[in-house]
Amino acid sequence: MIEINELTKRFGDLAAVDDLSCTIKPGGVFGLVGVNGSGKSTLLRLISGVYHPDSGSIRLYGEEVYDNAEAKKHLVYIPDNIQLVTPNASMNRMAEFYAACYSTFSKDKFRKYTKLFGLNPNAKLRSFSKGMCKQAQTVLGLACNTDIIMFDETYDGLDPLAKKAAAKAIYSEVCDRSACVIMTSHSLRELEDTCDSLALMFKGKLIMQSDIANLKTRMFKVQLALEGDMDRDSFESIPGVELLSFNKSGKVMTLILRGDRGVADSYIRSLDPMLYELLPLSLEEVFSFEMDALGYKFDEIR
Amino acid sequence: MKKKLFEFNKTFFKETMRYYMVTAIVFGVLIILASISIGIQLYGNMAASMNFNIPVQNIEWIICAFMAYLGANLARKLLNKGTAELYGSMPVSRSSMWMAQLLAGICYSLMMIAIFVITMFIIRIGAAAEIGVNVGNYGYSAGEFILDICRIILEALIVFSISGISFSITGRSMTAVVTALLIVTLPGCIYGTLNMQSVANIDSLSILIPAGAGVRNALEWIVQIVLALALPILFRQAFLAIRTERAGFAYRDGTMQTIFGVIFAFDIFVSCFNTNTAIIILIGNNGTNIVGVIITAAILTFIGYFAFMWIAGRKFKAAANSLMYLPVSAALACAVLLAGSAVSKAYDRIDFSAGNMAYYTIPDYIGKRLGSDYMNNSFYFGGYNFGNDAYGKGVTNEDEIKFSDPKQLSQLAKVIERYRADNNSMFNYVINLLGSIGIDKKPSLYLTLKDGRTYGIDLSWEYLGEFSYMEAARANEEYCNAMYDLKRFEGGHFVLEDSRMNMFYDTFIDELSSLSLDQRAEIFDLSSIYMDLEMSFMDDEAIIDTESVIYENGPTLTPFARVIFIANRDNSCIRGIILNEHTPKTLKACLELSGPVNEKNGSIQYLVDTLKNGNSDGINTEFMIWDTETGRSYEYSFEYDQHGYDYVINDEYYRKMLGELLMEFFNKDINTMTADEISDGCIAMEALGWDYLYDDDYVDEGMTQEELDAVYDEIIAQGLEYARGGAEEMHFYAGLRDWMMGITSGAKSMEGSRYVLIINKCRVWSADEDGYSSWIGSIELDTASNFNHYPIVFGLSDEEFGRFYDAFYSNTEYPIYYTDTRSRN
Repeated sequence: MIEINELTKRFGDLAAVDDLSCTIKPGGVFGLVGVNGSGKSTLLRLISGVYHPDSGSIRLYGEEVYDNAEAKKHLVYIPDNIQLVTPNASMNRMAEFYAACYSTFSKDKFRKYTKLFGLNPNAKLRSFSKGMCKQAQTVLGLACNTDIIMFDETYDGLDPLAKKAAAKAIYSEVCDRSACVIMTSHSLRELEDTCDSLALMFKGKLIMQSDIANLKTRMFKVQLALEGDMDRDSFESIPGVELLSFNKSGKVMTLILRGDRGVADSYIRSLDPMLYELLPLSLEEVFSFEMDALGYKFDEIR
Repeated sequence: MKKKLFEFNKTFFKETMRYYMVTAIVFGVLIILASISIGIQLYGNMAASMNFNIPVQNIEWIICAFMAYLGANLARKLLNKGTAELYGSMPVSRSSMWMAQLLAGICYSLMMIAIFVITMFIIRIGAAAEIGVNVGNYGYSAGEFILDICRIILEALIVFSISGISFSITGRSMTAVVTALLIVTLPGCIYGTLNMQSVANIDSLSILIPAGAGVRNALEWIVQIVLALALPILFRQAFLAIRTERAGFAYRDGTMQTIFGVIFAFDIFVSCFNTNTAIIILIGNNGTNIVGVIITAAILTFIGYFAFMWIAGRKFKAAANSLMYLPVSAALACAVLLAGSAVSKAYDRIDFSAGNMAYYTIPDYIGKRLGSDYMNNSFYFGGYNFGNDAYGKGVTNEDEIKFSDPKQLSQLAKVIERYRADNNSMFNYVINLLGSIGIDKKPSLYLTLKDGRTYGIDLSWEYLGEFSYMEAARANEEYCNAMYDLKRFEGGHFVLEDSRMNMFYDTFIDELSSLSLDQRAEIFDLSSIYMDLEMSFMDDEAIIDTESVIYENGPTLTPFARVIFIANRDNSCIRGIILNEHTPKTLKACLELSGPVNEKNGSIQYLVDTLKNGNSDGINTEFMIWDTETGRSYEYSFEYDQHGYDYVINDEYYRKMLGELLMEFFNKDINTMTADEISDGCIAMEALGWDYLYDDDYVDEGMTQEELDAVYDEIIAQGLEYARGGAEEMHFYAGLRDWMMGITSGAKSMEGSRYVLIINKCRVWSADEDGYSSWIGSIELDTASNFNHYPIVFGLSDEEFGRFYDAFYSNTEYPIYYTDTRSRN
């Protein structure tokens, strides 16, 4: 649905987005992760039509986005810092503004989510805290009922309860009408439970893009204990399986493997382990090894 | 993707209207305040309230300020970090945003104009109701009103666009303002530079467009329309090209910054040549030292350009590097200056000799020129303060009448020659460091040469004595017939408090039709005799013998009555007219109405009370006496100042105030002087002025006491003479005052009286020993500026007239205070 092709955006000598290409499919939650200055916000601004690309293209349902009202009506962009139509605007006033711009804006949904977050729609937004502003922005964005909803630093400033409420609301949109949500964060942990797919940016480039399920399926972590003494070499030759990490503490070994899970499972069971269990693998661990495979030091990117 | 020029998003337009509602309300309040401010002046002043067009031009600046704000704010929405992402990401095209802003601006501007019209109308109704004028008397001209509105909207669009373009090009407010100023002043700067070197005071637009007023007016409208159509489109393009990511930067890119820096430098450089101000300040000459001018211009340009580039770019090194473009400015400036020199030389070679002149025409109603240029300068006349708009509106083709009398053309040629000799630069009086944008000065007349080229000539009053084109116009039968064409007065009516004057419309037209052109000129307040009088105050060289004009049987300075006459049904022809002995029936009708009016409004009682006021020390009054049998009239204007004379002879006062001066002047202790000596000394000093004390002609250092005494005796003698005259004058005027008090208290009606006293003004004041403190009564019945007042009219008995005649008219000792008008034998 969103096709980005060789997109570049420079600010002086700095390439904020550097020859980036990717496709974002409809439905689901797409996470964009990267350190500060990696180009996430710039990319969102380019997709939403705020910035004009220096080269390359961004197409939404086949149409260029920049200054294209028809294309932009399919998406709503919730920036990191709240933007007000007037300095004294309240949520209601902002809702009116959004309603004027988006024909799909739902006042019912606006009221529903406002209540969900416990916000006062008549209060001036400049009197809100940072977290409350974020909540307000989320409400307004969701109420627009667009196909694509883009959040910059989605959960930044939100308390745990508010995060939960936001996540719930986002899921609801995705499930009910197959909306596509794009969210950015500098924290993998934050996106891990929310996103269906992730992309990692670094210095304006897209380092990696993958479904999370796919990632976690391909990579797995096991803990086992054997009567005999086995070392790393015993596990490096499993056909179709790559040993990424080996950790031994006494008889207990912790392995991170990538490849065919069935083959690995068969092999391990053939060793008749005293202890054998599958452990959850964090996204950070997944990314770490994936980056390593690509030649990036994950610690540099984090 | 190709964008449509006109994209309209209805919901976003409504949102935009809502967005600017508060702003519009604020400006609306300003409009109302402006209306009230204008309206306050109208109350009680019928003449001003009969402003014969709705002065929408008074709110032009408010409308333009509003539109400038809108233009700037549209661009700011995409360049302000607090709103850029919001508007940039909205599914509203920039073209729609631009259109919504434009339409919202026009809608609100029209609303503001409507508010102004309604408010002014309400105020005028109030003012008119107070003085009993019917609404139907208002002289509005729908055509002019609509044109004024169109003009304001066109200007508003231009301002909107320039402001928007400026803010679109730059990412910072300060730079945007500078950019807007540069855009606005650049044309004037170039234009002024091209023309500044010409020495003839010829209308500057004539250089480019040597055509008459009609063509020029049409061209001005065309230019304005074209700009109002083109600039918004340019604004749209600039708005579409805004890059939000450039917010915070001075200009969109370095090239643009350099361009405007060069323009700025150019402006400074040529402005140094356009005006003498900077030169005088810096090098103290009158700008004729070309080397000095160039050096000064170069220094100022360098400083200004560097500062601009540094502030805009925020980088010293980049600013220093940009200096390499400075020669471009200098080259442009030199090119324009050289072009200006060529233009001016070519222009100054134009043959303005009398033999090469074909004719001249006068573009404006002659009375308007009269009123605006001369009347208001004449303290003694009080001014016909109708205002340019009200006075003498509407003429018929008189601007097409050609004046080709060889004598007049010869005089005009001499005037132009004198302009050249006096080296009058066209922009002598325009001091604008960033160029002149006020180039719409309207000329006094248009001169057409034999080859058909037409030039506007602006005659300032100091040259009036050499060429009075108005006098020539008044002497031109064709011109006068056009101005006083009776057909234009069909369906007309008077505008006066008492609408019964309209019953005498036919009477007036009949009387008017029987008058000669000269007499009609008097009726329409354009008599050359007034012109001569005005000139006597304007230019000492024009009329040599002021005394013979003023002091001896001169013309009437104050007419009997003035009225406003709306000459036709569509209110497009309005005249201020005077009623005098040429229109006796109409005048009589007007005066007969005055009694009931003044009774009703209490003016008569007020006058009586004012004159009777025992505390009064001074009186100033103007009146006419009309002999209804012979038609003869006597005008009287006098000022009696008792306090002034008390002041002179009050030795206690002088003892207190002038002890030191007396000591210094006479070298005598005041305490050793007798009261008479002090009094005499004071009289002398008063008569001769304080400066006499220091007049080296009379008093030298080192004079002996005897010599000083001799001077003192001489002064005393003169002072006593003066005091004697003053005392007699006091007696004289006290008698006059008594005479007036007797008449006003008796309040005899003019009916049945041969002699009619018509009082136009009466002021009484009181004073204390320190000077004049206040008016204790003032009644202004002069309808020059206040048409809701009729003069106060009394009938005089033969005896009362006789007293006046014997005491004043035949008393040649005090000729300055009366004149006799138009003796009829």
